[in-house]
Amino acid sequence: MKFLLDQDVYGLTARFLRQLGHEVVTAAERRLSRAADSDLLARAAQDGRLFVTRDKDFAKNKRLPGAPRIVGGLNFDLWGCGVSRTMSDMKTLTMRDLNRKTARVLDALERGETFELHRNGKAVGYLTHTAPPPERKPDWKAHFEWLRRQPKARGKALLAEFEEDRRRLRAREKAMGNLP
Amino acid sequence: MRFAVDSSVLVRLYLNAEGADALERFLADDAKVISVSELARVEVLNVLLRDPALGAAARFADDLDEGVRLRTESVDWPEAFQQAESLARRFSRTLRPGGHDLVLVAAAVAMGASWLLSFDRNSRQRPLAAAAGLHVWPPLDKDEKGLVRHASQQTSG
Repeated sequence: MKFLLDQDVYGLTARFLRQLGHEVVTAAERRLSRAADSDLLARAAQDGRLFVTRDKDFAKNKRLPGAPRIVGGLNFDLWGCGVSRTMSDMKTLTMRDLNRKTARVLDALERGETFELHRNGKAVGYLTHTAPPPERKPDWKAHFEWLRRQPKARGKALLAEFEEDRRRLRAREKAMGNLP
Repeated sequence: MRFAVDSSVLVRLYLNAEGADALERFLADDAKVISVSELARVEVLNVLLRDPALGAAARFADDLDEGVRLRTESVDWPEAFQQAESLARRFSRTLRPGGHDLVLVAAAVAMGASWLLSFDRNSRQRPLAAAAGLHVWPPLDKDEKGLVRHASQQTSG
């Protein structure tokens, strides 16, 4: 599944969805950190992505397209944005629940349920039946092979411009009495 | 381990220029994912977009989207600026960092990084990061270590 995650969604949630093999982009990655709610939803619809947010105001705004879907117990809301899919019935679980209902939680895990673990009101991790697929390795070797094929002179020229930007920044700081 | 990064490293990661070899050796174990703050992202794009035909800006954006080599870490900026003020109160007198150095290191701390990667030896970001408790790569030279030692002694004394 494809997701667009609002600015307020935890990085942990993004990593979890990615580990499950979903294609996840965040509002920041799409340069939509300051976009209006309607623009975020329009972008999600345009890209065929489910929109994920923790912003409760989305549910109050009746003018926004797409019907809100509350995912069972999870602390974010989903908008279909033209994509008719729902997530698993993930439930939140506090440390107290975990202590008191361990056997029931383990039964539910065996049935394939997934829980989001909370401590002091914050999501701290997940309990899940299936092990997440191994995270992809960065493969830096392939990256540096690409880099070596890039024109050296143009790279050098741009790096010189960057260094010049930094020199200007340093000069400004020195004028203010910083950086002896 | 989370690796925060200054733009001086990121631009060398996307431009075939001096410094890339050292980076290649550092990243050779294929286990390090680089965390990129919104600040570093804008700084790097600002440089790479000056020659869009080179394709480096597009590659950088693709890597951020993919989230395998680079990962955008949303910084809690109000917390980062509080952290920056705290660093200023502790180290302004001894290290005389610039405002950019303070914000960069504070953002790294706020995003939970344990490392700062930076080639910028002309600013005070590297000794400031070490004084703030981060590991720094490339390793600090003798002068930088002296600055950190001085700053730490003054702060604790």
